[in-house]
Amino acid sequence: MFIDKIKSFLLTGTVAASLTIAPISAIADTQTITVGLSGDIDNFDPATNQLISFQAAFATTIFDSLVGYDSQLNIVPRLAKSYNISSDARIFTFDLVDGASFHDGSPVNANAVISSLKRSAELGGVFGGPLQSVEKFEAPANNTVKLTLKSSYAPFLTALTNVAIIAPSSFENAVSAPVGSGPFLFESWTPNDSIILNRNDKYWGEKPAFSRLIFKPIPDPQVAMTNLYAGAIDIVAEPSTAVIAQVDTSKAQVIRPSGSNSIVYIEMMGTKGTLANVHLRRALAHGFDRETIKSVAYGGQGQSEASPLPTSSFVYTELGGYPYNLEKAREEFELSGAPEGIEIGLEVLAGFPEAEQMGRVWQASLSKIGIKLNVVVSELSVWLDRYVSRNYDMTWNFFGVSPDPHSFFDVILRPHLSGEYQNQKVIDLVKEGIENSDNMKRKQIYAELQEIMVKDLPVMAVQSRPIASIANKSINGLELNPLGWPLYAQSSKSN
Amino acid sequence: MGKLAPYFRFLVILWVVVTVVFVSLRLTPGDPALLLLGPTAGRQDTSERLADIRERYGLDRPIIIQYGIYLSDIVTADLGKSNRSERPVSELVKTAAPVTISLICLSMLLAIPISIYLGLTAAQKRERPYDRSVRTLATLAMATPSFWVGLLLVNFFSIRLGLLPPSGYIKLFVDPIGYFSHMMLPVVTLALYLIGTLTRFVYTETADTLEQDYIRVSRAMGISSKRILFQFVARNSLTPMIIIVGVEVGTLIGGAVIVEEVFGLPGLGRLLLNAVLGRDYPVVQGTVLSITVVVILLNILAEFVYKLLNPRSKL
Repeated sequence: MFIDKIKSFLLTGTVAASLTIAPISAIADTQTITVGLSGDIDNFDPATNQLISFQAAFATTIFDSLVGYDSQLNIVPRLAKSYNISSDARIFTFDLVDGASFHDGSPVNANAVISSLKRSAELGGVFGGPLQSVEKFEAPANNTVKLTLKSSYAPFLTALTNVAIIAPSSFENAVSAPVGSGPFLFESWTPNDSIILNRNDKYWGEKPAFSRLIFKPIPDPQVAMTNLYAGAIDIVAEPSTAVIAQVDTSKAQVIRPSGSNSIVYIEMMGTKGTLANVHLRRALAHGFDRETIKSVAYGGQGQSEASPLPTSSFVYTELGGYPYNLEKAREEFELSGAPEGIEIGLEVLAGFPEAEQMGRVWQASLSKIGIKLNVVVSELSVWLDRYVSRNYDMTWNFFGVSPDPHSFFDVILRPHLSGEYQNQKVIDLVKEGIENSDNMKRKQIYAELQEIMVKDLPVMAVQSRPIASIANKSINGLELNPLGWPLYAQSSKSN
Repeated sequence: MGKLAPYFRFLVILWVVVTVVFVSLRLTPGDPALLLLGPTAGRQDTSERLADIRERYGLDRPIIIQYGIYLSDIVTADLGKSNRSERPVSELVKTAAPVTISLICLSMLLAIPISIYLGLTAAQKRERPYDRSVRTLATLAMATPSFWVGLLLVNFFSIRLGLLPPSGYIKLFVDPIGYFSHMMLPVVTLALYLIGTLTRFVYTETADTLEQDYIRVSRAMGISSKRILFQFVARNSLTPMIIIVGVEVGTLIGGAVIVEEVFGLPGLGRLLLNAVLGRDYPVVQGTVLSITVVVILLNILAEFVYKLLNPRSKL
């Protein structure tokens, strides 16, 4: 009798709930696209927020840059409808689009752009740093910006793709109230809940087909997927490799770019000096089973290459590298003179299960040649402490390498060049590569650099990461560029 | 001094908590300034920026000075600003608090009557299949991870049946139906653990009370079992529940962190979790302080109500 009472209670409750609460499978709102992000964004200043997730979400929505990327990573005009580069790559002149305005209504003219660029230069960092090489900022006409650099800088145009132009009126409050000129304007941020953007109906370019873009922070990938399947969100922006492999393709679609410029690296020369001997580094490289790691950690996806540059790079050089060979690994180990059973730490960032899986496979291989690999999984703040101070034996890392090869040498290699890997030849070649505007010459320079990287192994390239977004079947036209940036503005949603 | 003792105790507990949080944060590895800049913080051209950030947020000062400033800010009710978003911590807490409060209150409203009914009836039918089932289910409810329960509920009610939303929060006065539909699954998830704990407590208290002489006398006088149970036994065995519920509020706040994460509720749990991960010291300190004050006040209230209902108690 008690059981009967419970049954009738549940039945009544369920029926009442279903009658009073509108089922969520009602007609979809085709004017709103909701994206699940892997974390909340609490700083909306593009000059100071250097997170990849921030760039991916807002670089092409709230903000515009002078030039940008299309889905193939070709540089395309944005706020600059055309540009001219002097033959020595010292003078860059940009003609701005007509009629562009910031979200506060102020015009995007040369003076506003220069103010914004100067601010980025002052704040420095990854994105503003290249602007510190500008000697003169000039506005020869109302809609013309002329930048004269202190010396030739061939990757300058690529660097500008990362520099968002913001309204001068927003400089003080850029952290909390960003004002750009992009296809979407910032409406509100509710911490740990949502970031709401509305379509900019005064956008100078092609306006998005939908009127509202909402970002929801959902750190856990399983929770993000349940939300997607339930229709609460339309896109999962940064799914992990494991989640991509588990997608139910009857309910969702996996959207991949044409290639991946997101490369995984093992940075091998920390301040601890454990891997100071190149033979030990080579032993580790020969003990790295690329095929198994690709299969286990990356679901068989991605490209495993010796070169630190993506295969799509115009200077990419195919190199033999270090094939998986435990005998050769053992030979190199003996040449290094390292003690039998030496313990080497591999720092890995939590939240990337493929990194730990890679570490475990490597650990198993290295144990056969007398090296004990300790895989240390740490949360971001702890990993970052060790990474920035380079207080590690080795660390896993990944980086979206832009089409210009200098981005690898500037961001990943630079700390090592001023630290434990002080190779003057590399330093000179990197400088030469920046200052040379002749692409044929640059190819030669970077070909030599890639060979040295593989020979010396301060940083070992693992492979390209499979990147994708996962979207509801109602999402159309969404593309990702090979850096993993979804191009939301060109997508649409059907019922 | 006797009358002032509770207030003094309150202040001492508060001071201990804020000091422990302050010290723990500083001892935990992870530099807030580095986190703000990200992996490129190690480059030479960002070292100046790092120094600026540290100066801006007072992170370059000696620990004892930071502690002094922190305590004096608390005294003036200034919780400071987030290092990451630069929003006042009080504003962040005020926005998040109603979400967590409603989650906890609704969970208790659901859990308490169910626990009372199950505990009372199971104790009455001691050693019978019903009793064993209830106690087993109560243990299961306590042992089952709420993260897993939450995902199961979402999978069934949101994905398969499409009846309820899987995540998000709508304010009650904006859309009452939306509010309740969004809160239903999180409330059930959080209430489950509490149902398990309270059912077992009510069962134990009721079983003890049923052995009392006055209960035997009542039975002998021909009073119905139902009346004995819900009128006499309930009053005596449920009064201590008030204290337990007060204590369990602290546990519920911990459970709320997981539930808010699963269901995307922008409450204090999520605020605190993200602040800890981001080493946002002012937000962690301000949120913990706010939660501590509320929990202490609730426990004081629980003691007061208990004394009211049970004047002979020695509390």
